[in-house]
Amino acid sequence: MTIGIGLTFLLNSCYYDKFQELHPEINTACDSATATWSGDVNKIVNAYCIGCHGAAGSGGVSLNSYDNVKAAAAGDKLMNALTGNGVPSMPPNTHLDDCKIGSIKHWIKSGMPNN
Amino acid sequence: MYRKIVMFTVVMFYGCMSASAQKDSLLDALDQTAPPVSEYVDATFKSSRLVNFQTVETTGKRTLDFRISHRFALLNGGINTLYGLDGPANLRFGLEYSYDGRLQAGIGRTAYQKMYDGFLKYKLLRQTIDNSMPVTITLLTCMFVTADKDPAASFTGYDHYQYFTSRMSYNYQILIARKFSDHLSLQIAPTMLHYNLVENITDHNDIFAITGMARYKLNKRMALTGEYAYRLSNYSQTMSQYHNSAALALEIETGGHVFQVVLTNSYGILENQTIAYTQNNWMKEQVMLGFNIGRFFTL
Repeated sequence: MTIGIGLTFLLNSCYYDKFQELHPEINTACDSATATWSGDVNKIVNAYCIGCHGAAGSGGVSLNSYDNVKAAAAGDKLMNALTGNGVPSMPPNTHLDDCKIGSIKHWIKSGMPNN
Repeated sequence: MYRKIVMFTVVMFYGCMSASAQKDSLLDALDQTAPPVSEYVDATFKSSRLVNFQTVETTGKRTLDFRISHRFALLNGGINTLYGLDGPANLRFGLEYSYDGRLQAGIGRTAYQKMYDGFLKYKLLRQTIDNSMPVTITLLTCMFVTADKDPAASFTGYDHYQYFTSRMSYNYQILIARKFSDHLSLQIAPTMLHYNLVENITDHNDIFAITGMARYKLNKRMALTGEYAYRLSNYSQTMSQYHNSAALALEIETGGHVFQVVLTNSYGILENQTIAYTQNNWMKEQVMLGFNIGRFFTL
């Protein structure tokens, strides 16, 4: 009986969902050329980095403020970590998609404004 | 008196003869009716997992296996990160139990992606010493549920885990192994992974792969092991960002424990994390240290 319940649960819980189909209203076109600190970079850092790189930053890297992110970005440390260039790729448990990396790259190229 | 002794001897001898004949005839009857009993090959692998992937083995009868798996960060962080030991590390705790030695159930929790897992495993066919059954075949079904939050939801406004079912994924494998000698065991496993939710319209929810593993016993206590997963299906346009999972390990057996020191390119530990979504590449020296410990309790 337990196996039967288990099988019923297993078979009924099988879905073929695709995120883009569930939310077709999301504009998937990437526009990293308009990236700003407050609109993009700060949100990406808060979502993906701050868990480990808060005030007492893991590996001595703190990304908890605009100044700290700017310092990491200016020394190429940030981009190297995001692309795994010579250092372990960050974040360690996922890939940032090209759009998010592109947004950060554009913000750095723009002079890292606090906009 | 003499007659009594002779009679006693005759009776005893006859009795013995009679009993012997009866025993022989019973054994003959057994030989004629009972099919020859095949003895099963044991210890094809030393535990239910080689490194990340499951072996054909189940725990013994009424045996509980408490497993701890640990993966450190990449070795190429160098001395600054003490070759990955500074972390961030991934950790899995698991409990696996079998009542009859053939059907096994297990549960576990992995830190990476806050993943809970449960599995059922059944040793369908067992390799025999006389080779009447040349392989051991075990069926495996796993279910995974992530308790993670969608990190992007805070700024996109769209949560990947809006539906609970989107957190679930599955692994189905037919594990086929043969112990070729006291030293060498090999296993191959056709694999199907299913993810209830994938990202893009062009992504596939079902992923097919084949895993292989080998164990070479060095001596009574130690063995070298290796495993590899080859992805068969073209499941995503971003598939090239990921790599086939591969691992090497040194296995050390002590009383009641199996200890494995691991080198792998997979930060994840479970099949749904490793087979399709390993991010590191051995060719770029992106490997990490880890260990597995299994402790057996007879209940």
